[in-house]
Amino acid sequence: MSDGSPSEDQHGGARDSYRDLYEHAPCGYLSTTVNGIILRVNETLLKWTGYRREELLDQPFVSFLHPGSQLIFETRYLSVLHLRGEVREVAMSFRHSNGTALPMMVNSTVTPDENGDAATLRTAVFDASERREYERELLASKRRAEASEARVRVLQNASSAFAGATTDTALADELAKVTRDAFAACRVSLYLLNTEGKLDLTSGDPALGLSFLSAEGPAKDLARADHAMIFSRTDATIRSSRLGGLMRSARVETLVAVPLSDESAPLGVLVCAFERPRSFGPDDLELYEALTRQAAQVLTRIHLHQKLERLALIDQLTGVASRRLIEHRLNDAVNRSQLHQRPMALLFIDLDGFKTINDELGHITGDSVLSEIGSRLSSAVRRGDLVGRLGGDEFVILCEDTAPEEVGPVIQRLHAALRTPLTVRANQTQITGSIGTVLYPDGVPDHTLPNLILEQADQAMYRSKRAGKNQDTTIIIENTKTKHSKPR
Amino acid sequence: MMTYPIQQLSTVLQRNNVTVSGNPDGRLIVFAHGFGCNQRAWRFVTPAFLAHYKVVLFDHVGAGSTDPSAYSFGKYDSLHGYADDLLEILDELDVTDVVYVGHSVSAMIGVLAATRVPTRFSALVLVGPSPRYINAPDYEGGFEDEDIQAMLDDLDSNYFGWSSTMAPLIMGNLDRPELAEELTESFCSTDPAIARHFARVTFLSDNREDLPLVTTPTLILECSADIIAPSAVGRYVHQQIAGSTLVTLPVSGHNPNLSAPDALAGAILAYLQ
Repeated sequence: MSDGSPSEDQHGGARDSYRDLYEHAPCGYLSTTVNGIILRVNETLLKWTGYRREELLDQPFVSFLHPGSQLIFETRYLSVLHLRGEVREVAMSFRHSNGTALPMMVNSTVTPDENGDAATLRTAVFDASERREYERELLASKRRAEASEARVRVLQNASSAFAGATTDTALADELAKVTRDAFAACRVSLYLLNTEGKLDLTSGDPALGLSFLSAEGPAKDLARADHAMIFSRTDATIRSSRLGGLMRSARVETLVAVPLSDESAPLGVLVCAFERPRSFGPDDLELYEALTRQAAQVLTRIHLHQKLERLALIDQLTGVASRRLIEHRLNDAVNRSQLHQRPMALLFIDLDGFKTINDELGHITGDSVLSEIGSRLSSAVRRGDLVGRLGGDEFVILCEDTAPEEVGPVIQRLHAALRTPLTVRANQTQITGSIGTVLYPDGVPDHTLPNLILEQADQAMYRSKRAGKNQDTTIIIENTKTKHSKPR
Repeated sequence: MMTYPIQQLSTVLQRNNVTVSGNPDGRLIVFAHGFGCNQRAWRFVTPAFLAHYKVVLFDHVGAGSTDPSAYSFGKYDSLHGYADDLLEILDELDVTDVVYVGHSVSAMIGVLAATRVPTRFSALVLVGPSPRYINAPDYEGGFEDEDIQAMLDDLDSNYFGWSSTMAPLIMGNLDRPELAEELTESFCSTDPAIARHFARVTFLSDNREDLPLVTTPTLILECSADIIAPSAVGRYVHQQIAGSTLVTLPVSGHNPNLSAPDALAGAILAYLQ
């Protein structure tokens, strides 16, 4: 030892101590070929996994992993290892010789040969049983928390998105969008029942192509169901059914149908199409139903609102147009007439002797008379003319595109309709009307306001009234000249 | 590897990080990566093709450095969404006579695209294909439902307490931005939620019915001991695609592109000649 070099014995001693370090290191250790065939393993790994050395050598490392970890190893671990040269702290499970799972953390490095090509893979394995158990518990509670948070978020988003909807289509689009996002659905469609009880596609893809949803078929039953239904081609009965065939040709593997209903009345059905087999748990189904419940409430509100608007446009007593609708339509008519120089006439009718009826026979009879007059007037005018009631016993008739020679006959028909004895109370009560007409044979001049036209017709009516009732007066306004016909 | 820019990179080509290299006048060959990685998975394989082929690489949306905001959970809830993207890329490049090489899940994506628009393709090369990973009556996929669940648990464990979306923030302050990129890339995916979803779609899909519809000449390349796509699955795919060729590479594992790139390239070239 005078030259200071280690003796044979010392070399041997170092080898032994390195071998000991390797074999009994505080972690499992193994090397494999680049293809993952095990070349060496240490004693720690054998002891820990319960295998004999010869059972592991020359076998693919991956075959000793639990199946789930095999997928991770082959798809993610190896790609990273080959591309980066090392992988650290990846959680996987080893299969103990007795079949139980051994959670572990794995580190690997690529050892290159002298050409720099990958030669062997070295892997260190750490026991992670305790850590894994704790982690899985955390993971499970994290997932539960995330899932319930996600559900709450979906419902909150839905409620604010639905609140802005004022039409069926807008609501349907929002519901489809919210559902698509919540369930990662490929395609979502909403079918709503129309007044004839048939389903209309209100939002979504008609290319869903499922003819069974088009109208009469089982879709009607779906809309009338009281819970969500799942149809999946993994179910052999569905697969071999006509529906299964339709689903296949539409590239749909799973279909979820959720009914929309308002208390007991069905409103429609939400259909979600998935292009791979999907399964849904009770929480999912509850979310589907909560979404359609919310949408159904909004839909009911929209319908109610629309109904109220409709009501405001119709005179409740007589069923003819309300003052509001007349003003609205007169406005449009004046604009069109000004734009295209189309003739237009407005007739004003005030009933003669109505006050007497009201006074002598009472308001209820008076109302019946007004109602009867309303329908008589409606049947006396031309198709497309609008009959409305301004209030009291005042009616108007808006005639667009009226040739001057057409106005006379309309007026005569109106007189006749009014003169016919009333059916109400079957007595001799007869009623007439004083009619005032304003006619623009060349169209309404620019800057003439609708209100002025109404006033002109009213004035014409007063002339008839003053001339002894049951008369008609027509004011013809041609360009700037104005002609008056005499009251008859 | 020399890449030349595609004139006026379209949104489709940008979306999928499409890169074109090799011989501009050569026959077009597209390589599609599997679950768990990105186009870099092909880096050891493509050199063998550059002289005679025009080589197209791309990342699936959600993988590599694609924009996570381009990921739609509805669209990518089935492999059809990925097949749509592939067809759009080929549309954009305006090519026919395409050789398509798909690894793992991308093999089935190629099958779906080629059955929908067969005119684009002149050959399909399916590397380690599996139309269904879960065993079924009369079908041996190699895995059970609970194995896939365990895999998803493993995936979550590996992302647990650590989000790659945080990585650029953590690393961004350093003077070496490439570290952030490397860290993100170390998991070959940008977003844990996307990785989890892609895993579900990959391992819970069933595309067995699509195999008999393939009319494109098809090469099936399997490895001798592949746990992900066992030989029974390789045989099944071969039986279902009429006129297909089945070649078993003398390598084990599921990633011949990484562990035996020369053998893989050689087998593809031999088939194409």
